[in-house]
Amino acid sequence: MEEVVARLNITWFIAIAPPALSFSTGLVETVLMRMLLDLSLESRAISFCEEYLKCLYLSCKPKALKNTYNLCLFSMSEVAMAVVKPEMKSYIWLQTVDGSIQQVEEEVAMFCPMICQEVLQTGMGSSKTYAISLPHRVNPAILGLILDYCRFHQVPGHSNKINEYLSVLRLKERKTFDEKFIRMDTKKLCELTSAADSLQLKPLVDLTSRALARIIEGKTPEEIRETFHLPDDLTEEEKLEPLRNITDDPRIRLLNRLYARKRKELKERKKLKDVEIEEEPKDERSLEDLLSFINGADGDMKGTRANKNKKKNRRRKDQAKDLSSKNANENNKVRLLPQHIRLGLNLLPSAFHNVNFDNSLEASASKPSRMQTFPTVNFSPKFEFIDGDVDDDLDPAMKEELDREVEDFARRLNSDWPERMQILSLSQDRRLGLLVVLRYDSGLRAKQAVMPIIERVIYGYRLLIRDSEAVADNSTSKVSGS
Amino acid sequence: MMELISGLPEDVARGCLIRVSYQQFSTVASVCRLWKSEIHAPEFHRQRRSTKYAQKLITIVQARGEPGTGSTKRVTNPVYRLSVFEPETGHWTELPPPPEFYSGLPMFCQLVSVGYDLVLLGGLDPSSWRASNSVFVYNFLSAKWRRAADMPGGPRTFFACASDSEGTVFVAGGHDNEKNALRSALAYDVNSDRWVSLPDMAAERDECKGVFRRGRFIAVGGYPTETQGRFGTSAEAFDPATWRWVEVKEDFLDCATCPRTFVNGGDDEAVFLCSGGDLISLRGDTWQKMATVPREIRNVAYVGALGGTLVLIGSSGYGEVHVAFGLDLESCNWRKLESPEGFRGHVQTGCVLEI
Repeated sequence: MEEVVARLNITWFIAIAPPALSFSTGLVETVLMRMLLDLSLESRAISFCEEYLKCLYLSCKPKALKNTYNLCLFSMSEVAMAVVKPEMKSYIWLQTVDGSIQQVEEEVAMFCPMICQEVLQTGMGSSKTYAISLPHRVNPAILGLILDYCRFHQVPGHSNKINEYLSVLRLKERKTFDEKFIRMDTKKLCELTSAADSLQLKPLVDLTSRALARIIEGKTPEEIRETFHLPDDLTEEEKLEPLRNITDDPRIRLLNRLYARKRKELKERKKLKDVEIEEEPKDERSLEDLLSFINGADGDMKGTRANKNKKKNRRRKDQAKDLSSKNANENNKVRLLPQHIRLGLNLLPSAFHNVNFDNSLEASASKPSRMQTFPTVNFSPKFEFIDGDVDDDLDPAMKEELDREVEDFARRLNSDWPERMQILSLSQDRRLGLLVVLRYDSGLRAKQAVMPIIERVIYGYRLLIRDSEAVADNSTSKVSGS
Repeated sequence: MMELISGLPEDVARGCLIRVSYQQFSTVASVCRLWKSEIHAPEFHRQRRSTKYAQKLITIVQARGEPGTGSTKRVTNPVYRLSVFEPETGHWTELPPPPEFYSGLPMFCQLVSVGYDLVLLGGLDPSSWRASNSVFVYNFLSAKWRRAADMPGGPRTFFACASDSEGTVFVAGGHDNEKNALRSALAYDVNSDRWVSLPDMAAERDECKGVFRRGRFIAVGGYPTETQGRFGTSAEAFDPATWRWVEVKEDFLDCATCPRTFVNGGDDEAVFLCSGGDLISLRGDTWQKMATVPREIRNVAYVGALGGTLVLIGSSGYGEVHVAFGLDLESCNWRKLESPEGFRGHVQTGCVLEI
């Protein structure tokens, strides 16, 4: 077929040719090529091309449209080049700050306003000796990227009508190109932004700035500091909620509240430090117990349980003392957890709300007789949650140790199911709560690890509640005070 | 001098920060001192708006949970929360309420925006139904709520309120606990957290609507104590420069209707109102019909003006889902704005923000 067309007298062909759409795409393309190569027919070719593309556009044949468009582009640039002999194809000479010189196609280089200005005003760039010196922010590698961008985005100076019909297609192509183009590491992206700015290439600056903005959006403040090498010079108080507040994830909301609660609690703990001093060593020991339990087998469980029972009794006595103090919200980190869980919105079954909590929540699911009911927590709705002050009062050594232990613990929690069940049934939820809350305070690094903990805790509570509801009545008399 | 982003000139780095979504303002402000001061500078906000990177948001007080359709209408009081809608991206999200309103926002509270602040005023406590004069302010830069000074004077509900977008919130009218229409007015300065009294209005206005237009606070419509429920057609304007109520227009509205959908399209644009199934606009002295309100939003709950578009949120009937439509003011074309599950509940009120 092509040979036939090749032998045809093109002029005659066009004169009698039926409407473009009735041709097959292949034939049209061949005809076009021929016409375009025959320079005298350029204008006729263009109008033919336009007509054909218009038909394709209106008949919504994107693929054919694309192919033909590409062909037109190619052909037309060929024509343009052919008019000017290949040896005389225009290049611009550019010199980067390291001294290296390269030549770039004129239309590509001229896409950069800075280069365009230089050429027009000073006439530089026409030869190697008179290469245009690029700003120092443009190194050869970045220059390569920029030129790729320019090469893709520069519009061939031909028939606007064609561009008009295909503007939608171009837009899509550009978008795809742009998305792929900016996939690079942050450092390089910064360099590219800087270089593009020095060359006054606004569209590229816009693209890269947007990409950097997206990067910033996806990070926590700490990560941002790391990426951009910024100092950590804000006081804890000035730092705001690290978690993104505006989110409809109920778990994040719960975690936000835990965090705020913890800060407040630490502040209060500081005030009552004297009273509390004897409490703290006890806590640590419990942690170790817990971890040794996790490591140990069933035999150990009994042993540690016995230990814990002793502690329970001691704790009850202390709590009797505590309860006599007026403010129900003071000092008891223990009491925090049930409230948090209660506030955990959708995470809890409705039955949960009716149950009262005891601050000495240490019941074991397997020993219902030991269960106590939980007296009503005096949760005042006016309580300020989202508190501005952040007090990190734990001393660093303890903090580190707790960090380590929590990480450990979290890992174990996420591992075997039987282990998890054991942990829950042992109702060390109080410890869990403390760990969760403390972990939160030390910088949220293990957010991933903590989420499952909270879920397990909540699950554990559900189990406890389900079991305890049955014995709730029996235990009413055993309200704290013992 | 430390650079905002190392390797980038200041204006380019600022350009990057300007493109960050409002939801990460508090993150950016927590990075380092330099970034914090940058984002708090008024220049930042100005540049965001002038380069069109400011995000246009509509914050609405919306009931959570789907309303019943048909016969299964809810009897219990719905819980109201703050929904944030970004019409340009179609993105819906929720704003956490202040801790005091954890169990639901007050009924009939009012929302006003001032710069980066969202002010929540008054309302009736959802459980006790007592009128409250409380004021809460949410700051988008710090992503935190604070309790502001209460509205002075007696309890006040169904009042008009509007802001001049420069730091002042104006409040006028409403009614007290005995359903007496009020003619008193107040102004609140967000930065200094202080209320001042304004001179009284010429008329008592219960259930009036307030807008700020061309430098003046306008209280539209409402009714006095004697003619309960029979809306008037007058409006009066308060001029902060002279500190006086000026220009009482008797027949401002051409029909006696509830002015809650009255909205200022912009200082250079018309004002709009929904009346009798139509959207009417006032240019000069005459009201003209602009468009017919689509049937799905026949009961218009809220109208917001965002540049050249009006966003209307309403439902087709009592108890039905609430949907949003956008109207392009130039072409008068309606476009349905999709909302996901959970964001279709009853809407009480709303306000527009550009941050």
